[in-house]
Amino acid sequence: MPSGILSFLIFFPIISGILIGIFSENKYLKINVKKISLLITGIQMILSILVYFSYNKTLGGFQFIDYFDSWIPFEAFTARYIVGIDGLSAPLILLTGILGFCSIIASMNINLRQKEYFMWLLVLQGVVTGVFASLDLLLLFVFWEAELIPMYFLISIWGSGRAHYSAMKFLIFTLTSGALLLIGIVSLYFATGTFTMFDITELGLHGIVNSNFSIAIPAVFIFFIFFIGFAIKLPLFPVHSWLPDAHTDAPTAVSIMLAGVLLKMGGYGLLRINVDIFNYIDPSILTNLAPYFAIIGAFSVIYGALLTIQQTDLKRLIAFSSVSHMGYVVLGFSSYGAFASVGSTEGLGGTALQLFTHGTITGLAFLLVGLTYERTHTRYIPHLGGLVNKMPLITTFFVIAGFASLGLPGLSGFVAELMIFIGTFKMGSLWAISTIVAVFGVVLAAAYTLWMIQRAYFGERVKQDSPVAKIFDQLYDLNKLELLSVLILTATIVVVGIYPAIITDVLNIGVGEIFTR
Amino acid sequence: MITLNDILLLSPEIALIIGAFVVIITDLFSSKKSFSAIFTSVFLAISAILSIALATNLISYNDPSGTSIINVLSIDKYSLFLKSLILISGLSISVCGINLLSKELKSKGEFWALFLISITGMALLTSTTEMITAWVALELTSLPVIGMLALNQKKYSLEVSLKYLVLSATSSAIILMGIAYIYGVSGSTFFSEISMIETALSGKFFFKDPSNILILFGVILLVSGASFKIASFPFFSWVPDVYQGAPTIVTIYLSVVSKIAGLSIIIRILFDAINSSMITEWAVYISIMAVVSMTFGNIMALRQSNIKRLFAYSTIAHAGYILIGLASSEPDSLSSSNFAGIQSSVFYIAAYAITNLTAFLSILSISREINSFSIEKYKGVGVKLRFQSIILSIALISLLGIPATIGFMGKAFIFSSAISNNLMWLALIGILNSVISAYYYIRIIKLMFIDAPEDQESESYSSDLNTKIITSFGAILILMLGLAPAMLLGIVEGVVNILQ
Repeated sequence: MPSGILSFLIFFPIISGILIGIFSENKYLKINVKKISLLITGIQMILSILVYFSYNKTLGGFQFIDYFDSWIPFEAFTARYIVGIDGLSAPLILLTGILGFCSIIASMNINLRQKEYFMWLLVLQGVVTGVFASLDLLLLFVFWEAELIPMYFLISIWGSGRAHYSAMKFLIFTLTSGALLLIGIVSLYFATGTFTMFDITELGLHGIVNSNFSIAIPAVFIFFIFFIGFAIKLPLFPVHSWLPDAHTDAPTAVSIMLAGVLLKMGGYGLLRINVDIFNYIDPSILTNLAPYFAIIGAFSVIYGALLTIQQTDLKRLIAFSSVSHMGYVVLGFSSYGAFASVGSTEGLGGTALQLFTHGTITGLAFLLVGLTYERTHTRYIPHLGGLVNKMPLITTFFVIAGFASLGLPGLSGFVAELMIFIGTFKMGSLWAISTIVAVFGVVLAAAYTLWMIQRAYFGERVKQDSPVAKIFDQLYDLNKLELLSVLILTATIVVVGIYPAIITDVLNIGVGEIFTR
Repeated sequence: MITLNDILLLSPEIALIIGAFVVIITDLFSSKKSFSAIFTSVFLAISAILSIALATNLISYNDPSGTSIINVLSIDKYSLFLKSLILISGLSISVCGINLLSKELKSKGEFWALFLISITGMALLTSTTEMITAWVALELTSLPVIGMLALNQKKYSLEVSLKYLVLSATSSAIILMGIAYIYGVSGSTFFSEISMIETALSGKFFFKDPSNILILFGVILLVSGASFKIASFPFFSWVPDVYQGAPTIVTIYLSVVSKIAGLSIIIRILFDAINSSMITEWAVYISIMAVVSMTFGNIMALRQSNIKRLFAYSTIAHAGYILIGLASSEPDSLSSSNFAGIQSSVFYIAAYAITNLTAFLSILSISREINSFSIEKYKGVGVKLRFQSIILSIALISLLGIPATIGFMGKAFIFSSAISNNLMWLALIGILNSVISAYYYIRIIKLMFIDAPEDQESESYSSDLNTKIITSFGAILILMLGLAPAMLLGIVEGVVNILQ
C-alpha cells in the first residue's frame, strides 16, 4: 500500500463530496449524484478492506504513517498532521469503509435536496475516518468536532419527526463532549509537551512530566475530563438521552453511520486515551477506579435493556439497545484494572471487538428497519405484523441481526460479549458481581429482540385499523442493490462469528501493545 | 524634533486626515451619491498600503524594536500590525458602504469625513506610549462616532447618539481618573517611565504598600474605561441599544474596528506601562471582566429576535474570550516555553476581526435585500441568496469555534494559554460558554437553510457585488487560516515580542 493511503481515505470523500456540492447547480454538467457517491464509497470500501488486510501483523505498531510537521510548528504549541493505524484502529477503519458504502445504498430513495445530502454523507465518512486515523490529539479533535456540521444538517433536513429538536440536542451534547475533550487534550499537552499520541506513550513518563511543561493539574482530573467526554459520545447512562432522539429522527443512512461508526468514536477514545495513554501517565488511576466503571457499565447494560423492552417504535427500540450494548464496552474497559496480575487481554480485546461487531450488527438492523419503514411508512410495532409473508428476505436477515445482537454462538456478537465476560469475571469481587448482572443483559436482549421480531414480522397479519393494512398487498422485498448491502453486513457478522481471529488477531496486537510499548 | 522619517512613519494617519478634508470639500461640489464613499475607500486604501509597507520595512527604516516619535508615539511591529488590521477592516467597511449605505443616511460627505477622523484616532491609539496622548486618541475615536450615529435617518437615532455620548463621556472621565492615580504615584505620564516604578512588595505583602494599591486602582480604572471601546464588562450596557439603532455600517465599525483599537491600548497599558511584577494582581480583575462578559453576552444572546442585537451580545461574549488570553499572562509564562496568553489574545483579535467583518457584512447585504433585521425573516434565505448565506454560515461556524475555521484556532489558543497558566476554571467557563453560543449561531444557519421560506414568491434577489467580493475573501481567510494557522501565528509571535 502506498504511504499516503490513509490521507487518501480521509480526504477523497471529503473533497469529492464538496465538489459534488459546489457543482450541484451547474447547467452544463449533469451528473447522477447517487451513482457517483456509490462509486466513491465503493472505492473507499475496497481500499479500506485492502488497508486492513495489508496491516502487517508480525511488525505491529503504527503503520501506513503519513505526516507533515509544519501544521502548527511553534515551540510553545506544536501540533502536526500525522495519521496512521495500529491494531486498535485498523478494524474501525474497515468498519467505516463498509458502513459508508451501505449507508449510501440505504440512501437511494432520497430525492429531497439530493446533492447536498450526498455531499454531507461523503464529508461525514471522510471526517470519521480521520478520527480513527489521527495520531495527533489536536488533529483528532479537529475531526471529532468537524463531524458535527454534516450530522446536524443530515438529521435536521432529511430527518423525520422532531428532527430540528433532535439535531440541536445532538449538537449541544456533542459540543459539550468536544469541549471537555479540548480541555483534556490541552491539559495533556501542557503536562507532556506533545500532542502526538505515541510520543506520550513512548516517553514512558509514568507521572513525571516534561520539566518545561509542568502544570499543577492532577492526572485524575484530566482522566475524568476525557472519560466524561467519551461517555457522552458512547453514550453511557446518565448522558445517553441524546441518542434515542437523534437515532429515531435521523434518516436511515445517518442512523447506520451514527450507531455503526460515530458511537465507536467514544469507545475508541476510551481505549486510545483513557487506557493507552493514561497507562503511561498514571496506571494507578484506572486500576483504582476500575470496579466503579464496571458497576456503571453493568448498570448501563441493564438500564438500557429495560428501556428497550418498553419501546414501541422499531427504530427507537434498536437505538435503546445500543445504550445497552455500549454498556458492555465500559464493562470491558474496566477489566484493565488488574491486568498486570491476571495477564490477559480478553477484556480489552473484547471491548475493541464489541465496537466492531456492534457496528456491523446495529448497522444491519437499522438498514433493515429503514427498508421496512420505506415500505410500510410506519415504525409503530402494533401497526405491523405478518410482514414475513411479503418480505421474507428482510425478515430472514432481521432474524440474523437479532440473533447476532443477543449473542447467539456462531455470530459475531457472541464472541465479543464472551471475551468481555471472561475478561471481567476472572478479576473477582466487584467485577464478578457486575459481570453476573451484565449477563442478564443478554437475557433481556433475547427478550426484546425476539419479541420485537415476533410482533412486527411474524405473528398475525396486520389488523384492519392499521394504516399498513391498506398497502399490505403492495409491500415488496429487497431489490438487488439493497440485497448487496445487506449481504455485505451479514457476511461480516457470520465470518467474524465463525472465524473471529480475522479481527481479533489484529486487535490483540493493538491491545497487547498498550502494555508493551 | 520631528524629522522627515517621522513624517514618513506617520504617513498612514496623515493620509487619513487629508482624506477627511478632501471628502468634505468634494462633497460640496459633487452631486453623485456614492462619491464620498469612493473617496473614503481610496484614502483608506492608500493609508492601509502605507501602513503595510511600513510594517514590512518597504519604505522607511524602521527599528525592529520600534521608533519613538517625541516619546509619545511608538511606531513598532505591534502598532503597525494592529494599525494595518484596523485600516483594512475600515477599508472593507467603506467599500461595502459605497452601494449599501444610500438608504440609511441623511448626509454622505460629513458621515465619511467623520468616519475617517475616527479611524485616524484608532490608528494613533495603537502607537501611543503616553497617557494623555492615549486619552486624546481615544476621544478622537469616539467623538466622531456620536456624529455618525446622529446622521441616521431613523427617528430614534438621536436617542442612540445621546446614549453613546453619555457613556462615552463617563468612560473618558474614568480613564482620566485612572491616569491621575498613576501619575500621582509615578510622577509621569510616559509608559516607559511608569514601568520603572517597581512594586516594592509582592505576593501576599503586595497590599501593604499604599503606592501599589494606588497603581493597581489606577490600572483598574483605566481598563474599565477602555472596556467601553471593546464592549466588555463593566461598560457594555450601551452595546445592544446602540448596535440595534445605529446604521449597520456604524454597527460593524463599532463591533470590529473599535474593538481592535480598544484592545490595542489595553494591551499596551497592561504590558508596556505597568511593571510586569503586578500581573498577578490585575489578572484577577481581567478574569472577572472576562467571565462576566462571556456569560452575560451568551445568555442574553439566546433569546434575541433582532440579528443586530444578537450580534451585539455575541460581541460582548467575544470580548470576554479575548480577555481570557490577557488574564493568562502570568510573568513566568512569558519566559518559559508555555503558550503566552497575550499572543493568543492578539491572534484572537485578528481572527475575530476577519470573522465578524465577514459575518456582519453578509448580514448587511442580506438584510438589505429582505428588508428586515428580524431573525425570523431569515427563513429560507439560503435559497434566495445562496452565496451570501453560505458565507454567513462559514463565519457563524467560525464564531462558534468549530474546527477547520480560524475561530476554532483562536479559541484553542486562548483556552490553551489559560490552562497553561493554571487557570483551568477560566478555561472551563469559557469553553462552556462557547457551547451555549452554539444554540444561537446554529439557529441562524437553521433558519437560512433548513426552514422553508414564509413567502413562496419567486422574486429573485441579488446581493451587492462589492460585499460579495470582500466577504468571499473573508471566508477564504477563515478557512485557510483555520486549516493552517501557522502563517498568522508567526506574525503574531513577532508582533507580541515587542511588548515583552
